[in-house]
Amino acid sequence: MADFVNQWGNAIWEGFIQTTQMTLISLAFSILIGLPLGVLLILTRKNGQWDNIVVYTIVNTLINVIRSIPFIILLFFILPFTRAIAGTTIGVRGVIVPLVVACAPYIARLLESAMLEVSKGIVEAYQSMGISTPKIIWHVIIREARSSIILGLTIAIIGLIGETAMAGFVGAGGLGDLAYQFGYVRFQPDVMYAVIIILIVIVQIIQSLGNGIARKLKKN
Amino acid sequence: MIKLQHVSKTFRVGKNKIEALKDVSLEVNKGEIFGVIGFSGAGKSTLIRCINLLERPTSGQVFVEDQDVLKLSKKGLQQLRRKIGMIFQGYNLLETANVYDNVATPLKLEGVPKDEIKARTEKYLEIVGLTDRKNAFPSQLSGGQKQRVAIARALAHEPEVLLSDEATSALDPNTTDAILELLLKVNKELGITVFLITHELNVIQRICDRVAVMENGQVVEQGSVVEVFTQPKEAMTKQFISNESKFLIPERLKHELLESGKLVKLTFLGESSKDPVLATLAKQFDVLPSIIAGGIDQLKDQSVGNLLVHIKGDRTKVETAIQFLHDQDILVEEVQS
Repeated sequence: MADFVNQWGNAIWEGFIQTTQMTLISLAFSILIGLPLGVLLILTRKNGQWDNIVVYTIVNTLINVIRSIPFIILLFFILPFTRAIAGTTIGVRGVIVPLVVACAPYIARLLESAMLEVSKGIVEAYQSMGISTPKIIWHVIIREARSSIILGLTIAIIGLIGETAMAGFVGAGGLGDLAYQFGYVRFQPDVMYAVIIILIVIVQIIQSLGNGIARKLKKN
Repeated sequence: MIKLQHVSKTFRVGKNKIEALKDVSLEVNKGEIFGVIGFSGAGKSTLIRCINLLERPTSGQVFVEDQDVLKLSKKGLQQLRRKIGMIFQGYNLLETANVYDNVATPLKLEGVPKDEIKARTEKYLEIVGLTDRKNAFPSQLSGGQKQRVAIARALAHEPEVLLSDEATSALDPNTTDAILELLLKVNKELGITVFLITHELNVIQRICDRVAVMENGQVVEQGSVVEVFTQPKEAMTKQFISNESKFLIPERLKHELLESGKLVKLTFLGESSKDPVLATLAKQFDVLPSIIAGGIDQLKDQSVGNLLVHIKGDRTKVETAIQFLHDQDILVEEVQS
């Protein structure tokens, strides 16, 4: 055990840091893009406050198209786009763009369904009090949906961690890459087992944390 | 206060057009409680939502305090809506906020100064009697308590009008009574004009000054509650009222009674109910009146007595007796076979 830690400790720690970096950075960008998209879906859908079939159909279709492409293919498919945005297609920097492209529409969808659960009545009550739509979105819809939003984001984070495993193909490293490169390609299964156990623990912690926060925010 | 003129609203559902409101005109005076009654689907909900433009009328005009609501800018409409409180059948409270915040949050979003928010929230929670529950969440409250929070929330804007969209329809009879009492208090003590819609006659009876009866998107009858109650003209109105105070007598009995005399339905209002009319009939006109059925309806500030009376005796004497009744400030309706 001590030998194993001596030999692989550093590599695993480095992989863990890379995975965390990739996940957190792309999560932040995905929320930044996904939340407004989700809100746009809510507002422009039929009978929404800004009912607009054209905008809704465009956004809705775009999200479906991107979500249809498996991440591993998306990664290569959008290489030119990645280069244009990030200036490189390799390393952690190079993988953030495809991760965000994959994750933002997913988050938009999750937040859309979370926000759809908020009753129309409460929105109407706030309209009847002369409150503006932007304030209603933030202080009523997002507030009331916050518990479901956290649960949705938890799902998204876990999905992201899975996708970072494919980041190895563009040299971004991370835990998944470690397990693949050493555990599979170089026949060292104990590295793979160690990584798997670490991933299981991480996912467990994130899910419990998400559930806990969601429960706390629900307050009823 | 509120004036609706020739308001119509048509919804499009696919290729079908649904006329929810057809040329509705009515006027609500300052300080009164005005009720609209009708079965579900009559268009009441659309009507009340046309006042604060949660629903935009297809045609017609809406005035609130002489402001043409349909001509207001977005900002103007928001300003106006703050003067019009609204409560709903479903309460529509924030589930994630406690009672205090449910009342305070809208004020915060409107930019009311901090200490005023506190003062108003506490004042109106006191008025609705929920001061001791201010830290509770809606899921911990009963339906009646939730509606009180909603009322406090509406009042905290210090509105001039309160719109009530079936506010008591989901409540049991006792709670309904308590909420109606509260609405009366709001109207009397705070001077807030109340416009309510309901399908419950009891609500109209208990607290309304005037009433409009709706059917198929039209107002078929309107007037003071006493008037509409005692002299309903339209079939729809009669149908509503008949559930309460019309006496249903078995056909056979009715037939027998009509053979031996006349049947009259007498409606007594206020003062007229105190004179001993039936005794007078017997004494002066030499006929034999007997009471078949009777009851009293309590309206907001007046009670209405109803009697079904059989008058037996010589034909012409019975006729004069009935004529006498007509002259007595009593509403007389002869029951035909």
